[in-house]
Order: sequence, then structure tokens, then C-alpha cells
Amino acid sequence: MTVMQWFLWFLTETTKYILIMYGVMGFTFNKHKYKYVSLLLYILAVIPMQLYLKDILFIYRTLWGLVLIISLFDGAISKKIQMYVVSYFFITNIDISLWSILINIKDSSLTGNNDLTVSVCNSLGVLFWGITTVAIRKERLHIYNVLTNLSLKYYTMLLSVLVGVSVIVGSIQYSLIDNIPESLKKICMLVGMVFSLIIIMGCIIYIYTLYMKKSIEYDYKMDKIFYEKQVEYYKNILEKDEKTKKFRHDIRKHMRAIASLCEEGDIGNIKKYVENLQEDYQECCTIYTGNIISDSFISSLIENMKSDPKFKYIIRGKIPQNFDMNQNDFCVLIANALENAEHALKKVEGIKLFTIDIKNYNGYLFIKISNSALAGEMDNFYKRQKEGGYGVYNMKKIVEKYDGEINFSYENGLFHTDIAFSI
Amino acid sequence: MKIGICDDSVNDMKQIKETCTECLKNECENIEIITFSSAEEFLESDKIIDILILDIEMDGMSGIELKNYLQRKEIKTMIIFVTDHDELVLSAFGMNVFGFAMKKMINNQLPVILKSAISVLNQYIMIDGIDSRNIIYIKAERIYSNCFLADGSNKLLRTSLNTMESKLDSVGFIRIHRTYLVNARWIDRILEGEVLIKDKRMPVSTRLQSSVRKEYKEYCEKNARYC
Repeated sequence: MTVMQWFLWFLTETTKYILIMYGVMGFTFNKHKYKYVSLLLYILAVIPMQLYLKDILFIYRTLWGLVLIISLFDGAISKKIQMYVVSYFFITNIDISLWSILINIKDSSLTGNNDLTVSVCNSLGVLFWGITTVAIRKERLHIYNVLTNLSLKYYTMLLSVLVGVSVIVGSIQYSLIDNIPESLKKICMLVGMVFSLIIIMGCIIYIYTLYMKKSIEYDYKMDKIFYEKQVEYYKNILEKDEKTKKFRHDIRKHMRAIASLCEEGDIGNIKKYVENLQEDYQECCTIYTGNIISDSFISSLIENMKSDPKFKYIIRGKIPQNFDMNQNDFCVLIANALENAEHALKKVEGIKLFTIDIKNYNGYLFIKISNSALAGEMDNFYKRQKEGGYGVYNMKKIVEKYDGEINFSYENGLFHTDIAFSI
Repeated sequence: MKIGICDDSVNDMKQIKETCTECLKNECENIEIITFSSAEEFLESDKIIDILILDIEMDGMSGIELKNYLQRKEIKTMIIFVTDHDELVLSAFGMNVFGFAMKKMINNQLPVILKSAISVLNQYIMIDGIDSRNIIYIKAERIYSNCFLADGSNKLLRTSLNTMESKLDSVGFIRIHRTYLVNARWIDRILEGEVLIKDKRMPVSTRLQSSVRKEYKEYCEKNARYC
């Protein structure tokens, strides 16, 4: 291969892998500085390979995608290797299919396995993946979540389908090179293409159904949690009501006790008695933020943590009256945010501070949740996220649906979750 | 700036005043705290109060009745309600209500809400005799800037739009177009390629679309109220 051919090959292959990994599968670029160094070293390795190891150049070309994916993208190595294999088969199948179509064009110079045909195929491949990327740009996070959460069983199934399709399109390619009648070539190609398409569509529909099933199961789980929290919340309200009734009933007794303590003139005892009364009265926790979902989940967190003397909480703000977000969506958002907070609070040894600020302005609602957390909590959080944490993914999807954003940060021993969306 | 505290309980009034004094001791602005023992006393007073910390349950006229009265009279005093009973909050929402603080948690809740209210009230500058809050938008007209005001009038200033932008950046003005600078407080909605202000559609440059949305969200967060 000449330098120009190498250059064109690098350009088209790299673009295809980036388009499929970033644009289709939803992977994000990593921020490591060494990524360009490793890529440059691999590119330079082509010189000795071209000079002395021409026979194994196909291995070099095959592994380029793997080096590229590992160097450029974020995520666990095992996931990146898995996705490289999938991308490789996708790219190969599309390239061969395009090639099969091209060499069937009559009266053109694209008649065989020549350099021009390969270059045109590669360029059309880039165009195909470019169009695919634009068409499914809104679903890339969806696809990322499905692919990174794919069990080994389903991954093997997907791979088997792709290998099957490769065998079919490879056979077509082989039959087209041989001297067989033109009409048979076309029939062979069409049958192969239709068959491949059916298999790929079936595969996509199956995975999508699987995802939908998971999603419905998740919604059901959230409904169940919300129901349980509501029961807990109402139980607390009833308990508080009972305590209030009891307090009213006992008020005369308390007044008599305070009066006799006053007669004794022991200020210390009076103070102690009044403090005990206050504690009894305020023991039961019910939170009022103006929304039953946030009230239930916040109350539950406080109930779970209140036995710890180091736990302190502050709730500021109310949810506006015109708030009409879908109940399930708000439930997923609040439940996950508070679950993360409770998880982090339980790990802290010292003061466990938990605060929520709820604010709104002209159709935007801002919820800031801050909780004490260990210094490594941010790393743990990102690790969980990279490993396909469903909670954060769902929260992001919901705020995006409501034209909002969610940010996580760690500062001075506090983990902050900032949620903003339109209502 | 004048901060009023209206509460019929002497002990609560004392505690609120102490909390306010403590949280405002580092504020460089001259802040005066005035107390009222009832809603009636507040109404009889001729002082213009910027922020009123108001008890919901009071003998005579209640805090909610006072809030409704101020709203009807279009008096723009910002209200922060204090209460012992969260359940009363439902009837206390309103135009000028900035937030709610529970009396039993006054030390945790009131300082943050109060500081936020002060910051919102202080978000303006005077520019050639015009209060920036009254400017809806500014249009560049060659070397002049034409300020369109809330009362329907306009004023031509011999200042470039870039200079106006740098002066007004900190008080919520957003550059949406080469020739337009808008005041975020008057924005009703941000649409695709347009900004809706008092039923008027203003064009947004393609290159500025994402930054306009971002800046507006930041403005909303900074000025958001706690209810």
C-alpha cells in the first residue's frame, strides 16, 4: 500500500469507528492525555510492518479499531473490547454490502476488487455511519445503556447474529467475484441482503423489547417503593396526630407538674421538664414541601437516619403549586437522589449533614441536595456510573425530558446533586 | 435596605431579630431592622419595607391577610413567612412571597432565605438615571443604544451595545443578538430561535442559542424563590 492509500485507510476507518462508538453506541471520549501518544505509536508501527512484516499487515489493520476504542473512549476495558467486536462486524458487514452493490453497477469503473472500489466503499461506509449517527442521535444514551447492561447470554446472541450475517454477506461477495451469470449474481445478492436485513431487524426488535421489559419492571419497582414510602409517611402523620391528641389530653397534668416545680423554685428541673415535653412533641417527623412524593421520600430518609445523634437536616423551600410533573418521573428523580444521599450518609463517621434547597423561578424548578460524604465518594459515584448505574442514567433521561440538567459535585466534605428542569 | 419583622410573639420576635442580626453582620450594605408587633401596626407605619419577615398566625389581622392586602395594593414588599405550622403554608403562596421558614428551624432556614432575598433585591444598577430593572431590552442603533422601558417609553443613549453589555452583565442582561440585549427579568419564555418578552418575539442568533439558554437558567437559579 502506498502512503496515500494508508492515509485514506486510516482516515476512513478511524472516522467509522468514532462514528459508531460515539454517535451510535453513545460512548464518551475520555480525558486521558496519553491517548494520542498510544495512537501515534501504533500509527508509526506501520512503517516497520510495511517494510518487514507485510504478511501480517491484516492483523495490524484489524487491531487498529481496538487500539482506537481503548485509547479514545471512557468505560471498562472489557466493555470496550466487547463493543469493538460488535463494531468490527457491523463495519465489515456494511462495507461488504456496499461493495456488493457497487460492483453490480453496469458501465462503471467499479468492477472488481480494485483500489478505487475499496476507497469508494470506505467513503460510502463513512457516509452511512454519519447518516445513522444523525438519525439516532437522541437515542445514543439509550443504546449505550442497553449495550453496557447486556448480559453475556444476550451479548453472545448478538454476536452470533452478526457472525451469521457476516457469513452470508461474505458468501455473496465470494460468489460475485467468481464468473457466474449476471442474473444469478443479482438474485444471490438481493436474497442475501434481505435475509441479513431481516436478521438485523429481528435482533434490534428483540433487544428493544428486552429493554422495554426492563424499563416497565423498573417503573413497577418505583411505584412499589413510592407506595411503601407513602404508607410509611401516612403512618407517621397518624402517629403525630395521636401524639398531639395525647398531648392535649395530658396538658392539665403537665401544667400541674410545671406549677408544682415552680413552687419548688427549681429552675433546672423546670427546664428539664419543658425540654422533655418539647422532645416528645417533636419526635415524630413529617416533612411538608408541598408535594407528597418528596414529602414521603424525605421523611423516610430522616426516619431512617434520626436515631443517629450525629445526623442533622435542613429542608428549605416549597414545591410550587403549579408543579405537575409526571408522578413516576418525579418519583424516579427523588428516590434515586435520596438513595444516593442516604447511602453516602451511612458511610460517614462524623457529623452527617443533609440539606435540601427547593427553589423556582419562571417555570424552572431547582432542587439542590447536599449530604456529608467521604472524600472518595465522587470517585465511587463515577465508578458506579461507568459500570452502568441505572439510577443516574434514569435521572439524566428524566431531566433531559423536561429540558433540564443534573450535575454532581463534591466540595468540603459535601456531595451535591443539583437538579434543574422546567415545570 | 429596610427589613421588617412582624410577629405578635415577643420571644419569637426576639429570636428572629437575633438570627437576622447575626446573619447580616457581615453585609457591607446599610441594613435597618424594624419590628412590628401586629399586622395593623405594620399598616399604620409609613416606612417602606423591602423585605418583611411575617408570622402567619397572629391575633387580629393574620399574616396571610396582610400578604393579600399588600398584593391587592401592588406593594412590592418581599415577604418571608415564618410559622410553627407547615400545613398553613398552602394558603400562603403569592406573588411577593419569597419563602417560608419554620420557627423551630429558624436558625437553619431563615439566614439562607434572607440572604438570597437581599441578593435578588440588590440586582440592579442605575444607568444614565434609568433603573436597570425597568429596562425590558436594548436595541443597538449605530453608535446609540435604544433602551425600551417597562412603561412603554424608550430612551436613546450614546453608548455602544457592547459597553452596555459589559455594564449590565452582572444584573441579568443577556446578549441574544448582534443588535439586542435583553433583561432576563422580563423574559417570559425562551423558544427555538426566539425569546418571548411581553408577547413580543425577539430574534436569537444561531451562534448564541445555547449560551442564551445557559445564561437564562443561571439567572433563574440566582433569582429563584423558595416557594
